[in-house]
Amino acid sequence: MFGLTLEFLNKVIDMNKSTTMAADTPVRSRKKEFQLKCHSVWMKTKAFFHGNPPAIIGVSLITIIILGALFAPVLSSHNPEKRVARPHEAPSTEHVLGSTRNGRDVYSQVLHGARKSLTVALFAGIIAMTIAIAVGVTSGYLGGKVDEWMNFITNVFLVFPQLPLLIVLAAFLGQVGSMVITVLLGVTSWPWGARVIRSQTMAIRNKEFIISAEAMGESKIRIILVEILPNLISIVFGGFLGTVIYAMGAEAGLGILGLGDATEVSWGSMLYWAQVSSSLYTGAWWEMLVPAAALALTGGALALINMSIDQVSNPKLKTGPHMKLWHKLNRETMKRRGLL
Amino acid sequence: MHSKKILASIVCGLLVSANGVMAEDIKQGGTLTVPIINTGFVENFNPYTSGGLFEGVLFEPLMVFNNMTGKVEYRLAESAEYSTDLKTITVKLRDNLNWSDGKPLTAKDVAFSFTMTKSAPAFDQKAIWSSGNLASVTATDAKTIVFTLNNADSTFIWGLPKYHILPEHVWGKVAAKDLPTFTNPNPVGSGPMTDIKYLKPQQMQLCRNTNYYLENRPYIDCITYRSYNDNSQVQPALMKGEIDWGSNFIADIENTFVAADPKNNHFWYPANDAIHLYVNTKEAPFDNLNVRKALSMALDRDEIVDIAAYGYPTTNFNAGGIGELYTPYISKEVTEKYKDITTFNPEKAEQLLDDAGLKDLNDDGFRQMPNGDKVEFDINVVNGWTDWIQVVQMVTEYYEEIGIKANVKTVDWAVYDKGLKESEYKMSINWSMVATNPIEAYQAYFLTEQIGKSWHAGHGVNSAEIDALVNSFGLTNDVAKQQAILDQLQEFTASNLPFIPLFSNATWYQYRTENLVGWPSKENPYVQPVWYDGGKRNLIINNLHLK
Amino acid sequence: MSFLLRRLGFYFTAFLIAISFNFLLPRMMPGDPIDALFAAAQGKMDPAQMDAVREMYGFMDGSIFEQYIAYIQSVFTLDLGPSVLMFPIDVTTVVGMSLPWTMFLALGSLIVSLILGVTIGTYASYRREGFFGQFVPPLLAFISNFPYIVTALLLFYFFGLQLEILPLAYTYDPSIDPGFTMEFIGSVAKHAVLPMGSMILVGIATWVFNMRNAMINVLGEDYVTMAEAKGLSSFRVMYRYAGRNAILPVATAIAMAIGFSFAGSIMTEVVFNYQGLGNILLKGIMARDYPLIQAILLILVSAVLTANFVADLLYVWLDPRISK
Repeated sequence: MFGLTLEFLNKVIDMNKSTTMAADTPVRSRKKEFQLKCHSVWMKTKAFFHGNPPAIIGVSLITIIILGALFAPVLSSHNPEKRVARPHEAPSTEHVLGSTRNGRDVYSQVLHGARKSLTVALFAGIIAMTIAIAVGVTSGYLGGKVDEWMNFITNVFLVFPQLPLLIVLAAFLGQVGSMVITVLLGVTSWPWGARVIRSQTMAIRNKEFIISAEAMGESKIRIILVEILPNLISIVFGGFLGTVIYAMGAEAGLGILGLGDATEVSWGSMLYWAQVSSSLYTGAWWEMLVPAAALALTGGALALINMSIDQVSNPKLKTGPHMKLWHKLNRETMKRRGLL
Repeated sequence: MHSKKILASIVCGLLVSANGVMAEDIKQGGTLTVPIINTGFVENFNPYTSGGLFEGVLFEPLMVFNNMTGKVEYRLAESAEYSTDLKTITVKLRDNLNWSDGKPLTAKDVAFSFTMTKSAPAFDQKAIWSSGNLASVTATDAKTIVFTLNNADSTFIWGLPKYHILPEHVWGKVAAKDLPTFTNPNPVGSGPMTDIKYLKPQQMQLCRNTNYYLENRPYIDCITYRSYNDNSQVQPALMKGEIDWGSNFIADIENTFVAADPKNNHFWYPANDAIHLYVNTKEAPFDNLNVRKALSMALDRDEIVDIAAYGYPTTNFNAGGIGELYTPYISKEVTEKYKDITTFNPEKAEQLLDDAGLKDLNDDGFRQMPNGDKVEFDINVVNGWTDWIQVVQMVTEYYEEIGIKANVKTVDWAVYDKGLKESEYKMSINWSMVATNPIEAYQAYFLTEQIGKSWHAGHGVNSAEIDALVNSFGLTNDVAKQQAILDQLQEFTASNLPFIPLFSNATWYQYRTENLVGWPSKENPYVQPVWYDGGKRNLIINNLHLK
Repeated sequence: MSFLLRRLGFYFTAFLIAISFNFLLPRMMPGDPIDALFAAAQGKMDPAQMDAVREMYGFMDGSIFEQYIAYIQSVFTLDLGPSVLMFPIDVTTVVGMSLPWTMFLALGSLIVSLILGVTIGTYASYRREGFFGQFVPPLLAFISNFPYIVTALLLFYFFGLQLEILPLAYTYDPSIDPGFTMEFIGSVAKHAVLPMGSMILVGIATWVFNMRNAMINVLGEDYVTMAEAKGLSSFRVMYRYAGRNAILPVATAIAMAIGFSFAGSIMTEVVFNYQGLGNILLKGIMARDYPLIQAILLILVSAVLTANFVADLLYVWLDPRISK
């Protein structure tokens, strides 16, 4: 999403450059240019979704979830932190998804929990990718000693088993709030991205436009920011989504083990309380399965989006209608040539 | 004529058989399956390092102080008596005691078992040596052991059953420094089950001791131990009937366990130790007795027990510091006199707080100190003790109703432990001592020497007179005098309210009568059904038999 | 050759760093094992006993530096001391009991997901425009990205609790003796279905996509067109020409996957009470059993390093260009 928008905007800026060169362009055509730009953005977006059911499903799901999280206070039926029902009430009209062992409304909890869990995952992803970009690009672009050292550090982090480390750290730090978990996740999941970014940077580095930029005397920082980074967008974004998915899963895992903050409302802590009250055994499946389903849908949706982005950046991976179109065109060509 | 005779003989027969539901009628055989929460079984039969697995099973105690009936059940020992000056205890063993390998069990073994813990201080569970009170333990003849104390102490004898009686011909060969790591392979014991049938990582079985000192006992042939990860694993096992005796918290027990087989699945939760909210009386505003009273009156204990704890524990309205576990010792006068402290009365609570100067000055719904400082504090509870976390959550809700801002703080055990011992808390939920006699609870509460060592002494209410009072208990063996001391201690506790009573923990106990009967129950409360106590376990094992 | 030597050197250095970190970690954190021991007993142990017990477990001696040297020594001689949790059984034995099960679970599920994934991925790449190629990969992507714990819970609930067709816990039925009997093997297999199943579900998508994307890239290459023009069977083209080249990125991914699956098995083991390393690690953490925690982290690091090295070897074998 983000990457595509940037790409489109870049292209749009390019278009803009060429048409506004003349200083005496009338206002009317500027308005028309703006309409053209919007139209082109809209066409590109449609093209992204066209014949791409995973993208449609993924984006719709994620939108619903994000909207749910954003508007949680408005959409909730009760205060998620107050006792509003008897323990383990089954889903009913008053409590759409039932109540927990503590008498709290599951529906309201899952909405508010979305905020916490999504925030943790998002920020962990941002932290991880920022470090990954910093390390990967510097290492890949500068090469030499710097590269050797950074690569070494990256590899060391890579071979250390991250999840057990996370668990050990979380356990020892005691009642860790979500802030700590976010930082922990961000700081332990950057190596993957760094490695990929590094190899991609190294591939781009030797391309002509970089060499010409260097010859022109552009500063290294500018080269990195303006020439290299934009070309990494899709990888970075893909890595970002992957980290977000991983971070969400890790937060849930830590949560259910009781290593997170059990008094905050998040999907992980919902799982914890469900586990602790043996809700699956006592037949109160809703307490456990609702946050589990939420996590599943979010993870799955992000994965679908990730997959679609792959398709856009590498058109060879396109399936479905594109292939049909290609086959159709191919057949027509062959007919014309008399080969069929 | 004929029919009358038949009738008479039938009636006679019935009478005889009714009386005769004694040893002859009880079937021999059967296996008891018990869940053990651990990481798996290993070949370690050292009773001091094997987590209490084999107490009362492999190793028979000298005697058992049965706090439920108030009697002493003599096991290996036939009698144990104090001298009049309370400085000597004479223990007499039964006749014809043997170890499972056939060798005789004599006073020498007993004396050895005690003196051994002097050279292995890690085994000195009741600190009989390190406290300096035990002068010597000697076997005066084959059946008699004499404990000589330096100072009179009528409570000393209660610590004796915690020490395991071990065969000198096996343990005497182990060097003192090797004792802690000694795994005691091919164990020789005196308990009801000493034959290790098999030991697999997740299951082990012990079978009967053919040299057991009680005739025809145990009725059952074997005990199977099954290893489980934690409580949540035990629950489905109980529900499926894979185990006979559970000793852990089970969620929603009526609908899960009992409903699975109402005829055979039972549970009984008699009161265990009293749970209190500890208050740091050295800090404002808790230094004000009326504030503490208000904090107590704000709580609806019945609701807390019902909702947070499924109704399993027993509500504790006694402000005297002890709960229903020690029912015979509770002073009814004290409870009656101070009952308004433990009665749910939020209006009175608010009034007391107003009188103490804690008012809501800035209208945010919460009270402040007279000088405007915020009143906000954490209530400590251990991460993972979820039923207590739920209790504390409800407590904070009640406090919010009267305008006091309190937060649940789940902490690591290490932090909690340190906090309790060094008074690093504003408020903390806390348990109390389970012992033969409540004086031990008061020792933990009030003795100034316990501050920093015991979990229960950090509340800040102490005095020299109380120290003397608690210590005077050991100087007398007279039950009436002892009770008088206990009454005074209860009065002191209730009038000073160093901690707020909540409820008595439940003794977690589930049992199935599908295969075995003879369980302690509400109808037959012959012992407090605590698996984790070797002596009590021993009594129950010896009473179980096939249906 | 020099490539391999360099890699070996790197792994050794990484190992040293890992174990040093391993040493520092428990010592930086609050609490010690004896306190945790008492937590479980909830006050039934006399406080006066604690110092003696501490000494018994050996937690008092030497400066940090002395302890460090002793630790390094113990690592290389594999004399890792007694476990607190299962005293006085030593750590190596405890780990030895549970490591095989984790390896079974992790490697077993890895191999199955690898084979299944590669096959599905290849087929999906070939049938891109068909239903299979369009529907299956996205579906697998969706399912695989459920968090580990969620997949395990769902399987546990539906197949274990509700349908009751598969067992809920343990590695095998506790009443059966381990041995090469049909009964034992059958029990092991039955108990492994759900845990392995959940790990396979999570892991399979990576392989499907790796293989599919690699194949698609390769299928467009000239040499493939050449092979087809020559008239080679599509099977031959798929596997001997395209597949062999497509496998390279997959091979590198395997190394990373091993490390990941060891770690991921922790969640599965907890849900299914599987007696593996992850389960013991958690118990050790709760009990602050430093020797045990250190040993397990050590094993995991070694396993990952070894796996990476094996992957490097594989890569050298598959792609002759690398060893230059």
